[in-house]
Amino acid sequence: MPVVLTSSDSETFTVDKEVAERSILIKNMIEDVGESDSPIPLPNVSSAVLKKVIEFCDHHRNDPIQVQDETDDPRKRSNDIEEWDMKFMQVDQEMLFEIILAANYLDIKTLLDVGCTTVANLIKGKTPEEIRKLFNIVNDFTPEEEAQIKKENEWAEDR
Amino acid sequence: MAASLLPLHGQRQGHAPASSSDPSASLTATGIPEVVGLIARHLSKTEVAACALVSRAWHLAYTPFLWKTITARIPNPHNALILPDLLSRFGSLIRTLVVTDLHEHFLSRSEPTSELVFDCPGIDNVVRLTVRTDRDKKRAFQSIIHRNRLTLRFLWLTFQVDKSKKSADWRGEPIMMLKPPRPDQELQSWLAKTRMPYLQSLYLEQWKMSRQELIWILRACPALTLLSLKDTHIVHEDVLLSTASGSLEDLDMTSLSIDAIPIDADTESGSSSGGDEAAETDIQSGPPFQHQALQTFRMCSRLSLLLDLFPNIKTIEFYQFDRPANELELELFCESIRSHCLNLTQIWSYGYECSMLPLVLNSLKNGKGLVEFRGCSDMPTVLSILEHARTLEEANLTDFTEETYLPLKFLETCPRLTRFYTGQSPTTMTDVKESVIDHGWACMSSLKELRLGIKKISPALIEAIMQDLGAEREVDPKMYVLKVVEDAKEATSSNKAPPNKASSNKATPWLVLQQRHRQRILEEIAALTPEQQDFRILFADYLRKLPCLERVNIGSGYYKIPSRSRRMSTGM
Repeated sequence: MPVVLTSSDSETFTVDKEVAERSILIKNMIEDVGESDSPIPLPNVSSAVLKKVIEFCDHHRNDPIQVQDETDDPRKRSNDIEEWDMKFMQVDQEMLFEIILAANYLDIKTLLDVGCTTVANLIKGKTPEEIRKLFNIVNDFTPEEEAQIKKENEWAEDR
Repeated sequence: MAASLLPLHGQRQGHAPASSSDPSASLTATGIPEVVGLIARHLSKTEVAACALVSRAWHLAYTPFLWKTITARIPNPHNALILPDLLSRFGSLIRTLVVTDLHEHFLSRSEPTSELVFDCPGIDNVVRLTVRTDRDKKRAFQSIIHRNRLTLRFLWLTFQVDKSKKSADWRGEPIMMLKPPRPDQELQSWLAKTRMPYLQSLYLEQWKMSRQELIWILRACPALTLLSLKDTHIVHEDVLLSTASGSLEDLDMTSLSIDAIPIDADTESGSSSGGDEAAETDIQSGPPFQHQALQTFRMCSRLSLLLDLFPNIKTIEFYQFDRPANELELELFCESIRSHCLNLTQIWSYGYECSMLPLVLNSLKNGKGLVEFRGCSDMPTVLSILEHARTLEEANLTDFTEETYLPLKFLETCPRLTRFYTGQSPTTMTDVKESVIDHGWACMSSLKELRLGIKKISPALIEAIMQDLGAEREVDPKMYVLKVVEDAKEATSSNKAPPNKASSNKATPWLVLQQRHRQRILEEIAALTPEQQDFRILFADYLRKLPCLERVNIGSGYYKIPSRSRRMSTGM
């Protein structure tokens, strides 16, 4: 039974139910509404992003559903990304964050994880200035504020 | 908390994702704590600190992750001055606080003080607290615990004792983790001020307390699932008070922010001859208190006669037992298992001493029987475990100090055995052959994981059996990465230059060794004796028949067995 999704720019996508249900949001919607032919509107996701999201869900359609575990076990915190996922995430920065936002909204934990890990790998080892450059962020601190925060961070930093 | 951070200029970022008209999805993402958390968990503290310096928005987003886990060490003189201010502003962001090595952590102040820099109102959201404290800082920790009692899930309290100054008859320090109720106080009103509703794990080391005091702690912690006592002595009320009377200071709880109780109220309730009963019946008439949630009780080095308090206990763990238990204590201990712990199904025993285990295991027969055993075991213990063959599902006997006795007996007689691990064992290939042919394994249809030590089995023979099974050696992921890198290097350089160039990596010899090793194994497989070949066919055939077997280790590391369907299709 296919499911029809409508993006913010009114493009429709027809996908298998098991693919669409990688999104917990959509899964819950289908459960609430019951089987229906009417399209599911996703007003927060553009067609370009939704296309990527569907590609991801399709590739991972047979993965076991991750159980929600809030364990802070560092061993489970791998920085490694599967090769396919890594290639999948080779997009421009704007798209990377759009995908993260969509994954957060649609509640697709694996995609959110992969996205955030990608961002973390970009940040790793960089100075604040390098991070600003990387993400095109303006430094809106006054020099005094910056110095003060630096001082405050120092103690917590090596605990 | 938010007030202590720099004010965020301009927009407040909502949780709704950016529509395409939004200028920056990255800015929106930075406003979602879940997203920032998922990013920050991959970063080091230095990297998180760098993020917090990027901009105002990032400062707001990343600072909580900078303070989430604090392991306290000595503050340098400069930091020591600003620490109280820092903690009052950022302390509420701390979720995990570890204060280990005491003397370094206190601010040097001009006046003598029992205060602790972490005993400040700002720190009020701690979830995991680990402390080593000594006498004069005890009160400070009591108030830290009290302040965080609504968020704490994990609490590990160790009294730091100087071994050289410890007298022979020292039996722990009075703990007074929380204030007991006044004799005339309603249970509910006491609980309202004392309850630690989410505490799940409590570890107490080097303390002394009365049984009644422990009961108060248990009452205040209804969600507790694990209690671990190490060198913690549960004493009769009178004994505690007489030893503590010299240092009444310590028992004085008046410094707590909760309403003070006069010290004699404590003494009164405790010293009346029937202290236990009086307190229990005064506050709640009815049956004696039992804690319903506790599942795991861990004892170190000596038995604690507390099992009557834990009717739903599933697991008992013995750690660091190094001498036989007192006979009377052991008898009482087993008696309370028989009469109270009908759900007890798991025994873990780590340490050299297992003389108490047969009696303990025997007393499980009243209830559901033994389902899981882990730890060291001598022959009498093994025989006692085997008396639970009907219920046993997991046994881990990989103890490095002892041999595992009768491993094949487990496989032959335990129909529900799912995971079974032996250490060194005197089992020979002939034994295995007999076991398989003459007895068969009762656990055939349930066994998932097997580690079986077999004497004098050669690596080549193991490799041959695993090949026949289509099993793959499990590789340490790190080694695997190294291997891939080396393989790639080798592929590009195989036809060039001599291998021992100055630039060649240290790891190369490892690869060469591996290859040599593989080559040798192949040669050795070709040279297996007829007896070895017999065993190879027999054992591989038998293992192949086990429908659930996933992992196996018969002496040279774990192998993954392909799932049954795949095994079928590759032909048997």
